[in-house]
Amino acid sequence: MNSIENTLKKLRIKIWIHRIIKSLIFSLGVFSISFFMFMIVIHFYPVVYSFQKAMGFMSIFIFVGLLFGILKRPTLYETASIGDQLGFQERFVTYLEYKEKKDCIIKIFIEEVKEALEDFPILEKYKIKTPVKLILANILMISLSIGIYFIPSSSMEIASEKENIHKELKEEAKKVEELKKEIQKKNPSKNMITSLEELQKELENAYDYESGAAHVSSIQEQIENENDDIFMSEILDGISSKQKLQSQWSKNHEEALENIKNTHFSKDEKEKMKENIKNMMKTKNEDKKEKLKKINTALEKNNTGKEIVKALENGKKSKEVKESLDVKLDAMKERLLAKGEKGFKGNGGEEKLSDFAKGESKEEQNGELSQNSSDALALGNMGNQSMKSPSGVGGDKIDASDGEALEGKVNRQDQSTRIGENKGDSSYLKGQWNDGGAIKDGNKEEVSSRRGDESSLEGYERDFKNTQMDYVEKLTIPIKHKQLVLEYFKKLNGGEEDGRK
Amino acid sequence: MEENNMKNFANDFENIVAEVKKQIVGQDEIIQNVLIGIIAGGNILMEGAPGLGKTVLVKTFSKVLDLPFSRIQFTPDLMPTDIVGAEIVRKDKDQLSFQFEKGPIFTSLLLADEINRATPKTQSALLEAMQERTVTVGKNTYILEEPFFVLATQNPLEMEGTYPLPEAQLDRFLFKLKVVLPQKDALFHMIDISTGEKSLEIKKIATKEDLLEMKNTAKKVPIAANIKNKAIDILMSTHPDQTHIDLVKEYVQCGTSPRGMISMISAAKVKALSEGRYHVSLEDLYSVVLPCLRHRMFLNFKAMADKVSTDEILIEIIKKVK
Repeated sequence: MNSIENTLKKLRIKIWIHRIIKSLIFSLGVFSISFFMFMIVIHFYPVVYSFQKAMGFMSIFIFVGLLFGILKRPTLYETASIGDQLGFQERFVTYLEYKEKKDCIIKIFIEEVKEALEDFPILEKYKIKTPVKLILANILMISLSIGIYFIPSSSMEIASEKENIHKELKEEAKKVEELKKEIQKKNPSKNMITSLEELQKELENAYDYESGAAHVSSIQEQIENENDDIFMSEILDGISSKQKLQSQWSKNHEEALENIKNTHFSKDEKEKMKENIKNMMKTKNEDKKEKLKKINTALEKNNTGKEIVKALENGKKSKEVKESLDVKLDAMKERLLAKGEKGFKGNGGEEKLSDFAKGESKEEQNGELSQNSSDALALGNMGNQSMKSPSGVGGDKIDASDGEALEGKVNRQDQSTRIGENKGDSSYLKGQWNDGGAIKDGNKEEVSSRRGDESSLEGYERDFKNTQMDYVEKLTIPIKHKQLVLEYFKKLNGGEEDGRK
Repeated sequence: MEENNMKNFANDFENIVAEVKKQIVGQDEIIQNVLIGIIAGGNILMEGAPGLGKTVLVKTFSKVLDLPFSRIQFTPDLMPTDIVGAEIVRKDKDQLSFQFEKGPIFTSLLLADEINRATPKTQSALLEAMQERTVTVGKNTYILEEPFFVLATQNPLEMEGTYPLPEAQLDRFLFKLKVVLPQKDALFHMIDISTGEKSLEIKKIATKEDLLEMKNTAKKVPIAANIKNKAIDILMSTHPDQTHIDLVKEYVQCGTSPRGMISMISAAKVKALSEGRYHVSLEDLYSVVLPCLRHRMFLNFKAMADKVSTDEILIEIIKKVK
């Protein structure tokens, strides 16, 4: 390699490095402006993990800048042009174009270029200039943005609260993972595992307890739908002994299994069961299809009883797993709902700012509504409870209690009232509900439900009496309160739900 | 041999210029450009007021280059046959025959003095010779001996009794050089040279063959593509419908021909060699833009009214193209 090409290659590397630096500084400039704007935005709109996101953006910007710089590797011709612009008077570009030509004048020209290179220190002439002013401006902008980040604001508080919730939900997701590992030992259905994995993902991405609880609830429902009783019922549909077997199944699995084992199905019954299985195959999931296939094979082998029992035993095992899972998920849901109410109910009137920040959530909106709505007061819904609690948000802290606002506050009634007796008013109903709790004496004026419009309540009550639990099911109840409301009305209905105990 | 000639180009050039400078003082740039024009194989038009040494310059070059030299003083009554020659009747042993009598054009260095004093008809007699290096009289075409070039002088057009050169004629000149009054110290030196006791002895520095060798060397000079592109950009920028330069759009009626671009490249090559380089640089190109293009661009009436010159427009074009 001759000295001209050697110089060109060295110059090329220098130009390349310069381009990478310029590209990095440019990307840093873009980032610093974006960072500044982002830091302003987060004070108006809550953005979770804003700083981490900003740092992530910075990495992306720097990576893109670096990549762009790397990709902008100068060609030899570009290098030659830049070299010429430094005062080498188009020698490099001419050299690149004519170096292959065998001509006397080209030979003289190349010699002249080499001589010129000796007198012209081109590599020293090309200086990698660092735009110090631009770098300083970027640093200033970033420092300013960081300063802005630390200015407290309600949006930032909301975001911080959400982050805490998210962290807790992630912990819950870890528990789900443990739960999954635990039930995997018990040979669960594929669906259960899939549902748990789904729940884990949902919890990892959730930012409020209510949606977390909603996800748990929906997964519970999903798992619940895998009902082997219904499954059994569908197979036996149209079989004369269905009622008997099914009834036994629901009361005593062991006995039912023994009976099925000993049952000899007729040819027609077998055909009917095959047909049922065929129809079920169209709609059931893979897990159930597998079971159905086994039963179908058993029917064909004329070994019906034993194989059906085997399949059902598996189902029974799965049911046990499902039940234990349901209990754990229920606990998780309750835990999440309880956490969700923390900021709402308040703890002894010493709420942190983060708890106040929760005021913008749906819960507080309910509370705010209840301030003006006499109906809501009379109904004693959750919003009302918190508003009336002296230890709640904005409470006077006097006479604070850590329990539910209504519990322990409702005055004991002389006479308990039940639906159907048509004697008491709405407030008495609460007295009834609290009969199992620690009821303390108090003034009647403290009963918030007294302030409600009784006439309208009577209307509701009348409706409820007429339609019973159907009335409740028609209502839109927030998921976190659903269990409580249903329990309440069940008790109100004398412990019966649609005629069932 | 060839290599030596190439390497000695700058020296030879410098020697010729130095010899001419003995006679012509204070016109260094003009001398250099005339020599560049001669080596590039073009014709040169020199414009300047009478008495600035245009004719002396050409005569000095003929001496230094040792070239056959003819001078035609253009006047309004000059006829084309006075330039190219005519067929005359000769009597030889009682037999009459037509014989072509060569005019002053059959030389190497033709000085067309005050070319714009002749009518366009007579001026056009030079067209063929300037471009094709041939002369056609009747049915016969005569080839002019190499090197051939016309060095014409003209008085500024504002002067009495002048005819503007036709566009086709102007386009055949490689350079148009403006001869201006020399500086004070040059004028001081001029007095000594012109009125001194001793007459100056101008030496012959190069021969016809040397000149042709230099011309061939210049043609071989490598030129990078980006310089060619710049020449094209300059050419395009002189056309009002091809450029965004306001000055051109406003004042130029007609841009330069591709011949102008070729002139720029040829002249730039000689310029590079004259500076001891064997390749063309952008600076070489920019330095020849004015003499190469100033006479090929035609301005409109608005330019005349606003007293805008082609030089101003070309300087603007160079700035934009750079």
